Amino acid sequence: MTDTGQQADRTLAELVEVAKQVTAAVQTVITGKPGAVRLAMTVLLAEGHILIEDVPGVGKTQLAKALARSVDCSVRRVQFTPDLLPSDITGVSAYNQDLRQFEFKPGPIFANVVLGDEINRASPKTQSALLESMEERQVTVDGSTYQLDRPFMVIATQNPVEMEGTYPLPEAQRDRFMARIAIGYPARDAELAMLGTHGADSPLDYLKPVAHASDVRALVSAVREVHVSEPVRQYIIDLVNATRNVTELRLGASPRAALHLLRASRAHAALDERDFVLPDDIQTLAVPVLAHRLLPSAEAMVGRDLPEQVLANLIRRLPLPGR
Amino acid sequence: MNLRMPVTAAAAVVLASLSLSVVVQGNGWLGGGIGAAIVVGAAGLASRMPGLRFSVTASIVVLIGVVPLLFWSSWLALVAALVIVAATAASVTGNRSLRNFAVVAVYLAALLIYLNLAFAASHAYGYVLPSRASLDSLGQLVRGAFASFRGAPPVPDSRAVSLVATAGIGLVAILVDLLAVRMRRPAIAGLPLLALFSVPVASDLKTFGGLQALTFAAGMAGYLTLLSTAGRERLRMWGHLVTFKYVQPADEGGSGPDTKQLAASGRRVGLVAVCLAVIIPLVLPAVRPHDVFATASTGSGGAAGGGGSGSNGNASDQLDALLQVQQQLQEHKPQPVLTYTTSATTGQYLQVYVLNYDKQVDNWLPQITEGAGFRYAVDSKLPYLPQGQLPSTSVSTVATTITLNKDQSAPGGTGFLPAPYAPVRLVTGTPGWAELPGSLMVFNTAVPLGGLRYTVTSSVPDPTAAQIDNPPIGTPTSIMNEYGTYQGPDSARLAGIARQHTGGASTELQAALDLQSWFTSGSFRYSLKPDLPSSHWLLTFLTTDKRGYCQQFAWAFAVLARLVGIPSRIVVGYTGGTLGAHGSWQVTTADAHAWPELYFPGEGWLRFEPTPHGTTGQGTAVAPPYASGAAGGRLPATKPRGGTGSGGSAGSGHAAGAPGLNRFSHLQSGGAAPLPAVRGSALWLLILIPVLALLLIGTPMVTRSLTRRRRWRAGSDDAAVAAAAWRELTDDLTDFGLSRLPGETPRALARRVRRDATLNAASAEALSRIVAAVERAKYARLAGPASGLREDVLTVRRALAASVPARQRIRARLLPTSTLTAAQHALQRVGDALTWLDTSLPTLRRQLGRAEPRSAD
Repeated sequence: MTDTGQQADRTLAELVEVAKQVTAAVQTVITGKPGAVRLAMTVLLAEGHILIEDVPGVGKTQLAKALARSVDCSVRRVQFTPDLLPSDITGVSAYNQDLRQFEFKPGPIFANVVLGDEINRASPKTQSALLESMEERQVTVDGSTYQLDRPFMVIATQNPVEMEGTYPLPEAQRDRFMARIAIGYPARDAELAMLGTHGADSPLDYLKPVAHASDVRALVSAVREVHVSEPVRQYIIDLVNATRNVTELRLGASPRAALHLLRASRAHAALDERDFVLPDDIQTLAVPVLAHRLLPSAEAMVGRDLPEQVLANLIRRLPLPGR
Repeated sequence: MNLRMPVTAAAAVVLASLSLSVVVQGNGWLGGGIGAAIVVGAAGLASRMPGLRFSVTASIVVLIGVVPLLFWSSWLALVAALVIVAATAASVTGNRSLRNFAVVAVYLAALLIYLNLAFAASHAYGYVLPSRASLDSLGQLVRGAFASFRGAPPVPDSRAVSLVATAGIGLVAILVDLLAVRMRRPAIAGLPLLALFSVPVASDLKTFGGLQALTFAAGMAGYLTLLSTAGRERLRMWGHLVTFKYVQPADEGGSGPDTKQLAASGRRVGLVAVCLAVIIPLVLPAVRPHDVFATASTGSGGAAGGGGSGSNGNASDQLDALLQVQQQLQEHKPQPVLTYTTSATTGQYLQVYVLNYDKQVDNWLPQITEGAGFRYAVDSKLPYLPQGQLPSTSVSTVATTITLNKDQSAPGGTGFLPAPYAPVRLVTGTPGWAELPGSLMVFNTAVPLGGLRYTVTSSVPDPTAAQIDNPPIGTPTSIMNEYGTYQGPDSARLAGIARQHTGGASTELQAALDLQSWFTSGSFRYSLKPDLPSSHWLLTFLTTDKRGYCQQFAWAFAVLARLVGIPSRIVVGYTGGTLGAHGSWQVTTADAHAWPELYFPGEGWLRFEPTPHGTTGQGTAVAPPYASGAAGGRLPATKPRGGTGSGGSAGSGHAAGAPGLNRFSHLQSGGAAPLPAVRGSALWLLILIPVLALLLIGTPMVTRSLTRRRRWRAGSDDAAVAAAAWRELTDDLTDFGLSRLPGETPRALARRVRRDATLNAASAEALSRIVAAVERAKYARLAGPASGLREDVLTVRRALAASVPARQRIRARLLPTSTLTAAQHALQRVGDALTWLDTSLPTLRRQLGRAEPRSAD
């Protein structure tokens, strides 16, 4: 991408440098998957949450951990199991005998990056406890409300729903994730290299933070300034509307999805060192941001028309506003 | 019960039967035909009723139908009748063969009952039950009809012709109903319909014109509707049991998928096909559009209408005799019409029709009306005396023996006899000749005229000028009322012209002669292809154009005569022709002629000749003695004018030249006139076609170049320049076959171009610069600098041109595809309009409260 806007914000240019360093650091751990890493960075800068859906052992947890460690911020991991309770995530009020009062013990949700591993193994009740705090960025326990730190990002991993012992996330909760990515198996060369690097010990152990949480906060506010022109906004609305009207889909994208798409496209443009969003950003992000919210119709399921393919078709056919 | 198919089938038959209108004059038969189609449709409905009801109905109908057989004298007929009824009744058993027999019997019996009711009710038992007498009367009618078919078409409409037409339509309707409705084979039902179409083709009808095209189109529309309805029905009955020979009664009322959308698409496809079929022949120079927008009058041309059994008196239905003259004169090669020998020494003008002015249609029409009061000839003596001739009138009696050509379809070929005016006696071998009063037109509706030989005795008016000028009596009021007024267009100005050219005349004859000499003195030119406007042509003819043939001259003369107070009429027939060997005169289509007759009290109708004759006019036309300028003395018609005494010598009675020359001079003058025009227009075409072709070829290129210039000029600020560059780039890419896809971003397009077209480094960079500028202009807060974009676009275009084969390069330059975009948009709009029509029409129909056809289910 050669386009370097001469009038780009100096702050943006500097901060993007930081983002690049973080990306590079993460890529030392997750080799051969620049797309997934970049998407994770995009979601981080857009203040969203990410759902990584893939088979076990492809590096879902590694990605989350690497991202958290590259930025010098707190990271907590929650292993979701069927017997996990909501309080195991949010924390509990325990009676302190010394002080003779109830005292709040924060749960693992109180961190900058929360890794919810195999989120679809927990009961829906527990899932919803996590998801509420994701949306509101606060936790209410026993009538007291506790704000969560910024940046706050949930990286949830889940196994494909066909696997045994899983509770698939309801549509309403999937809608709260800004993007879903599939990491996929690495290419042959990347896998070969991984055997060399990860053979003795994990490079994750040597990963040093390359940025501070404050850098990320500055980046996030810089991203908010990225310009989204009228045609691009129209394009987002056209695209979202198209998902609602196309016959292959039973459930289209929500207004929240449009908002997520807008925010993510800003971050995506910023990572390109651009201070304006292109329709290309929308097209690139449409599948990760929208696909997990869409439900195919019965006919489409029979025809194996996955929402990803439906979206790709829509993008190809939908004319750009103001061609 | 579903009525859609039977109704469509009946409508298709009625529409197809319209093609009979060119072979039958009048439209009395059409009502009968429609009735037959309805009756057959009803019989079809009855035949599709369930078992017992069908058998009962069928037995009753068939029983009524075979009543005549029951009262036949032969026992065989009785047995046959009983077998038919019994077999029909036995169809209740459900035996398929019996049922099929019963179905056919019901159709035929219903048609017979209908025909009997419509045409022979008075002979039937209680008007309904056919009897032997009524069947006999039907048979007589049929025989009469076939007798009248022996002549050339069109045949005049009569009860007999109506009966045959109705029966034919009914039989076709039976076949169509059987095939289309019962057996669900609507495509094959086109064959019986085709039989109706082929009637005019198979007949001797020589003129095919607009009317035939229209009737054919109507018939085709009916057939296509039948096909489309059948298609919809097939869809509607999807999933129901459809057997080959027998449609289950339950299926007919069955509901099915809504076929409206499909029908709408079908209509759109059909509309496009019809548009193409109409437009392409108009556009292609090799295919001559055949009378698409011509008037329908030629369709009814060819023969006389009416007579004995009564044509209707509708003027617009009547034949246009003047038009026939034109058609005959314009034959490429003169066809022989008749030969005759005469007791006179000059050729005799042969009258066929006499026309009077009809102000309603502004035309001269034969007075063949029901109330015309014809009478039959008795013992060769024609019933009516010549109008206005007194016992004291000077006439010469001329006997003429005429042999009509065998295969003629000319005027007079189908009813009206060519005869010298005024016929008194007629000797033929056949009976049934009648004469109309006043006009003394002689006709016969039953006898075909081809090859007929007959002798007419005529009392030819032979007055002197003095006799004409001193009439013993005045003009009767009835003549003045009937023939003395002109209330057509421009009558005031025409009256002025008439006065101007008859100003010096002291007598009526002198006035007439003045008019005649004005026409024939050289200021008017004879032309078979006059170029006259359709309205106010008479004024144009008289004042400015002054070119025409006998029709215009006779018309103008007759009108002007009326305007100076002389009653007039136009006669259509033949000039005397040319004298051949053995004293026999030959008359061909080139001798077809129209001339005026003026009424002089005491003398009756006298012929004048305003049409220029001789080598520069109508070759064989000749003025009568009293009108030939030598009007002072008595010049009997029985003596050759300029009397050299060489009675047998050819052409002595003609205005100019040898008969052989005369005969062709008409043709030459007619044929020569258009030649210079053709040459002139050919020259124009030679220039025009290449110019048009160049224009056509050059248009896209010029449009493209103009658009390009306009775009760059419009670009004032950076954003506008970038936008212009973008449009130019996409258009260039379109021209080189790399058109932009709808969802393609600038970046994606550039990626594809780099991949598909082999660009060098410089042009690839130029492309990147354009894309970057476009992206900034379109999507960033502020547009970037746009200098050098025009050069960049040029660089890219050149690189694209270099990367494609030479043929594509030339095409991109000469016929840039991007200029088609406007055309595509226009087409898109047409498509949208059609969609709107399709979607809004049913709504409109509902709003108007008209029930959809489905409601008839």
